Amino acid sequence: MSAIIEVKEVTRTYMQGDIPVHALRGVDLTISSGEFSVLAGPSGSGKTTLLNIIGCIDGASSGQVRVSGHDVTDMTRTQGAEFRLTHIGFVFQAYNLLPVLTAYENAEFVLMLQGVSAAERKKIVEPLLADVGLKDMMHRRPHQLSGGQQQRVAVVRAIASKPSIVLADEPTANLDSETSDGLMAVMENLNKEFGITFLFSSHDELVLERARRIIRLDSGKIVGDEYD
Amino acid sequence: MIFRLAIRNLFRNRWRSALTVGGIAIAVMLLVWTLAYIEGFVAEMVRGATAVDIGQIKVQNPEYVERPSARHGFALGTHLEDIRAVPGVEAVAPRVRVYGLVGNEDTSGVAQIIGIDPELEGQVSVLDKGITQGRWLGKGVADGPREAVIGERLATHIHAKIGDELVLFFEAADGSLGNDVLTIVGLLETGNTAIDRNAVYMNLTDLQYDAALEDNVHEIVVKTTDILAADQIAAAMRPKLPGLAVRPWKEMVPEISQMIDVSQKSDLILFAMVYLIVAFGLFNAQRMSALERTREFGVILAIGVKPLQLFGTVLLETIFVTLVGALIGAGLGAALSWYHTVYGLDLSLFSDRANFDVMGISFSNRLYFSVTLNAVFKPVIYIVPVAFLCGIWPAWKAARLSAVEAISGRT
Repeated sequence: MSAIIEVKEVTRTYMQGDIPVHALRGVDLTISSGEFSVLAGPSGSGKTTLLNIIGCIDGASSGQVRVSGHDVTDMTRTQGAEFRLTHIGFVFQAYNLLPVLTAYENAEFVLMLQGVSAAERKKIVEPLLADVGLKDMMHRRPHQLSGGQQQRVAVVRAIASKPSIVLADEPTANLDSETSDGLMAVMENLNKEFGITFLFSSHDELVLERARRIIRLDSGKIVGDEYD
Repeated sequence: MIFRLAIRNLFRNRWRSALTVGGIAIAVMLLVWTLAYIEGFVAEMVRGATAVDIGQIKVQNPEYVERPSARHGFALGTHLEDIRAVPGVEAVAPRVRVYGLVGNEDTSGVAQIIGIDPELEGQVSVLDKGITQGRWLGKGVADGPREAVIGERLATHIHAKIGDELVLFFEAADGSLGNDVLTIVGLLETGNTAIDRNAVYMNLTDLQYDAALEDNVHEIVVKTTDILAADQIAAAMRPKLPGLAVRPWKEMVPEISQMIDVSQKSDLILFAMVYLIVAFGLFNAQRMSALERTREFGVILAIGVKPLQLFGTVLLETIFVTLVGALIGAGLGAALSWYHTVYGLDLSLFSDRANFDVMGISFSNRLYFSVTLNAVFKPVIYIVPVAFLCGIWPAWKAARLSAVEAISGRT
């Protein structure tokens, strides 16, 4: 498998008042295409920071990051947005759907930004929502859906445009075990069916059990890398 | 989708959006109403100034303009026909005007004595509509009774009434003392103070004879089809009237023209004051709306919306809410102003006087508005830059957000 994510000697330091906080201290990591991996570690270990840097929504203080063959280290904000739109899908911890749009509209949002026609969007989004068990709820607003249903909509939004990578930051953090398991099963199926690379950040045992690779971080460094 | 997002965001906090739209609508409604009031006032003033005595364009001997004297007339010749041929001219009427004493055996007063052709005069002025007692002048009959119509206030001053004789004394064009005895056949109230207090109207040919003017007149009054085009029509007349002064109303009553300019410029001050208040409310509402959605903006930016697109969305919300409010306000303002156009505004609510004078023009207590496109759409057009200015800051802040900080709530 070819490397889809390459992180070389990445550091990230930010200031908390006058005190520098070293979130990442020289991380080297390679993720291959089609992996179903998790960045694990306690709070403050740097897993979310690393995920954000890979997703081009945060910048590294030093080092180099390549995603899908593109050097994303020094992208401008607009270049980063364009890159994310075509290459990366995001699933966030707190659902983060747009409350004024229906489940269907949230799911098609990225496709719409890409300029895909309405008819084409419908062909893509409706089966995906049906696949995740939301066929009858696609015209509901987020507040009319449960947490698990919202997170499934967020997953469909992330994968609808067939990105090469889906980055999921603590996707099960707000869900009960049963819902979490169901959501992970959905993502695992999508990974297998479409070959989309999934990279999670989580300390949820349920996620760690399903992941085929666990990269452990502590105090901004990789301290373990286990393959299932 | 961006547009849909912007519109739906406005319905999230319906009370806030409704109050914002309502505030803008009320401000625009009041501005439309005020502009229609001012335009009605100005129109009334221009009408009052030009419809009675001054006319829209006046042709005179330049020396008469410098020094009004009976001797500074000019031969009528074919001027009436020449002027009628100019595009935009609706009607023309010649006049003779001298200054002197009028009175009876009891008392006298200073007056301007104006000789007119009753038939032609009715086409250029509304003098005949101002008769309050008696009748308008009849066509002069050779050796017939000589008639006069005088201003009502003049009549009061000299204790004259219909049927009384009126004695005139004035300097004729040849330097001699002109005089005549007329019979008062009508009293006049025009709303023009100078006319109502000082004017005596008589037949043109009678006064030409009395003042030794022969065929000469002192002025030709011109009515145009479009009073606002009087300058251009006067310019078109000048080549046909060599040696004569052709003056549009703006030149003859510059104070009214200046007053129109001032009122138009003072519109800007009014707009500035009202829209400053609107801007504070609008800015605050949009700023709050943007601040409440910081996390959402972070997500939008993270999934691939460009900062400029987010800027546009937030700005569009502000412009949309403003335009909805402005259009509602313009509609309400137009409706209210239309009511006052038809039924007038009773100013006696603010004054116990039956009428009032402004720059020699008398206004009744009921002022009729003028609803124009300018009055209705100017407030809408002028609020657009206000919306831009109020929307730019929240939009800029949203576009400059760090997705990471916004999602984590660290902004």
